[in-house]
Amino acid sequence: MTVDDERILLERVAAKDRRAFERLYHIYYPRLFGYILKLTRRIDLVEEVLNDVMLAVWAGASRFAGRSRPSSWIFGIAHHTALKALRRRSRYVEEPEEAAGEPVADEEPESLLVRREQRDLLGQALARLPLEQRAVVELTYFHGFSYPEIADILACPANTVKTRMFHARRRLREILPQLGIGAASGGGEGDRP
Amino acid sequence: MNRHAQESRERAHQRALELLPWLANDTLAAGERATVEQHLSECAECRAELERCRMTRDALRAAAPSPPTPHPRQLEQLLARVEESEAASTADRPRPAWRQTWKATPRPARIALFAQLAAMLLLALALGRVDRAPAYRTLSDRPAPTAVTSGAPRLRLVFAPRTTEEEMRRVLLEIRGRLVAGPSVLGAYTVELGAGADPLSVVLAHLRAQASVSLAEPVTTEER
Repeated sequence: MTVDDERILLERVAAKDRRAFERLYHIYYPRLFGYILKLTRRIDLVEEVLNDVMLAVWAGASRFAGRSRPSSWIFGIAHHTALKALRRRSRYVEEPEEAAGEPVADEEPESLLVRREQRDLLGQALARLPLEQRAVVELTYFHGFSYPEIADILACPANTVKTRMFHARRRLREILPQLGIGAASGGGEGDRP
Repeated sequence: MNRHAQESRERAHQRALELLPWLANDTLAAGERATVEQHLSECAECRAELERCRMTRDALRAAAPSPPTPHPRQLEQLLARVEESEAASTADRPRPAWRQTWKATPRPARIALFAQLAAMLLLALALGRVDRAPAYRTLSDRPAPTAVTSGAPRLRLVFAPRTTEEEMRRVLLEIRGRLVAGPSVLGAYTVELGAGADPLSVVLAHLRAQASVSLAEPVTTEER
């Protein structure tokens, strides 16, 4: 599905086309699910937030200006809604230790053992990052957004996005060797920040 | 080398270093991309860091659990909420315009209009197509809602796609229900249970067991 396809879909949603809305829901469900879960680290919040997001998309589709990509508009709503849900539960505190076991365990391990270990390592490292840094890492590497788009999504200046990413990279760097990353990259330039 | 040149080199290095993750995800604008690539050609440290960015990106993507698929129940709940929000906004939105037009209309014309509406309503009633006459909804919803509602149990019903009219009728006859509103934009009907109908919970259980019914839920009194 191209950006233009998504635009058309959003226009139809704005015209209260229910089928287009269901289609959009199915397209965005996996992406939003992953993002909201990584961001909040609360599986109990994900479905509720996701539905709130889609409801906001339904209600606000006619206000989508087409200035940005539909995906960054929708992710902006998702980010905002997830933060609001966390605040509402007044449990918005960073709890690094609790994140040790990533809550999605619906997958059968078998041959995925290595992948799983890496996921845990990376997942734990990500979970230790402050929420805003985690958001930037996810949006960049997993969802493929540009930094101006991320600035839109997080409603912050572009320079803040770069700074957050810079700090996140520094912290993630410590675990990269354990993932087999770093040694091969000839990155032996000492501990430049 | 003078100090000025060294400082500008250092700035270029910092700038490139900051942008590497977005070179790695291929989203830099052409101009920035060219600048960063130019710097990369002369900076081993940034090349190594770019490699780390790419590997982090790959590890993150590879480590992602397979994407979940939505449970049908969740979509149903969402659609029901969408439908509620639609009902609320259609109740809110046209009202001011309607009222303005009404106020701006001279009194004799109002009476004539009202009479006409009443006649239309009677006609609609006579034709048994009350549920499709938009005037009915507006009129019945407008004055104090609690006074108008009959108090008979109501439920919201969404039929499965491609359900035939006969099937809908059969279902409605079976539960002794009649349509009082709908279809909404999402295809939901409001059904009121007539005298002699089973208790609402029994009816709901019966409906949910029907292949032709994809959603059946009670309408609470405050929703009316």
